Amino acid sequence: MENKNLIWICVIFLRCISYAQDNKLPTIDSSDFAKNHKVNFCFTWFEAGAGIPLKEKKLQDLPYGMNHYLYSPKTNLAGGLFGIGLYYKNHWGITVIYYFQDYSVSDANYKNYISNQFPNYYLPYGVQAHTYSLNNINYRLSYRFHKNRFTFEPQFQLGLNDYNDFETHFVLKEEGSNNFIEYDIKKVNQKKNILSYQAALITRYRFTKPQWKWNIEPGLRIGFMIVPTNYNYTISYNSYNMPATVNEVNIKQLNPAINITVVLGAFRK
Amino acid sequence: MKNIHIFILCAILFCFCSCSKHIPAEFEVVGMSLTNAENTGESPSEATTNNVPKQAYAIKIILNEEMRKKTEGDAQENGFINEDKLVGLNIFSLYSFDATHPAKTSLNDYFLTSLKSSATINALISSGVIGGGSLKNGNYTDSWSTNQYLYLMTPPALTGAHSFVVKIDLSDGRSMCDTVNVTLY
Repeated sequence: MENKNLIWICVIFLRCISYAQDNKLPTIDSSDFAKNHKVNFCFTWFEAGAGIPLKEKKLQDLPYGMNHYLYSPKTNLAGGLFGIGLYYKNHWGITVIYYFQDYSVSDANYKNYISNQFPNYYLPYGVQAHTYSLNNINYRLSYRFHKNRFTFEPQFQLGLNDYNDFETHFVLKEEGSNNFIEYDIKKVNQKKNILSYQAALITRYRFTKPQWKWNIEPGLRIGFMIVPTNYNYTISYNSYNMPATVNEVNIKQLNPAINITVVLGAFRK
Repeated sequence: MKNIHIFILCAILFCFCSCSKHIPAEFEVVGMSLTNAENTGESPSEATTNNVPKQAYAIKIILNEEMRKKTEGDAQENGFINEDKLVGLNIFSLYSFDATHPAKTSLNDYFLTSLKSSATINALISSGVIGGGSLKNGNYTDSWSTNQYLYLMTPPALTGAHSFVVKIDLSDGRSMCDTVNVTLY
């Protein structure tokens, strides 16, 4: 269903572009913005940079080690690829872009927690705190305005995301014996969709020449993003052939982050 | 408009061309021997004597393997598959192990193939996989050996001598068998 919608949006975009091209007025030789189209086309080749998560203080008080598991995320990769945008009269724009973002929580505190909880066991390589990634097609609504050779574009972004992560499972081996503990953290999503919301500002510099049909526009994008999630976590561990200790906890998060990316795109005059 | 069509065409072509199929190379298990292993540390190691703590005892199976069918392409990415599947594996002791396991009765339920509860002997037989491939500097080799550990998870109540026998059956009708003597304390 999601893919179907995407195909329809692409078809409509291409039709609009085609319409704009077919109905264009005689070309005006200009190094400035072309004002001869009602609709201008913008292609974003890539956006790449850092996602800087903001800590959610309430996560510090979670039980069963989930505070160490979820708190203190670190800076990770964020970016976008192949954005296609249409701008009405060079100002109002809608864009679809493939957007992705990695998240991971620093492992050190969680490893310490597990070591302290099971002191006579070897800590395996697989012990790591929460790690996941978001990716999918995102949609942007923006307004573009210009000052000299700079273009400023505040925008709102909505993403309907795939949320991919690794379920935490590791085995702790006891010192001096074959005995071991299997430790699992599993989670169940309580929301129908993982939506992300982003408010951002792109500042672009415009390279252009009168004979060029496209402006080349590198720039910088700064955005504030939240991704509300609601998961039921089940934390369980058991020794071989022994009954498991099972704990459950519901955790709602906003996953706020500042994203700073460099942008390279082209804007059809 | 033309540029957009070219771009979309390139993207579609890239999607179709970027993946190629890897065919695993085939090897055959040609021999098997057993030694004692102890697992008191982080990972198992071959025991230096025949006296091993019963809580940390493991049987080390050394499988001798030979290459049967090499495949083209990157050996690392192609991977390996055993030519003949494992269809049976039985562990038993020549002496009485405990009250419910007299001599020569199967001890399969007392052993795991790795330290996780799902790694039972039955699971190994169901997978049919035994042994594994080996590469030297990224290239195929003609013969090599790999190790498979069987961890004793339910040690006997009493200390004493045991003779464990491991017998494996392969899908081509061959069977291999070896015995290892140990004193568990």
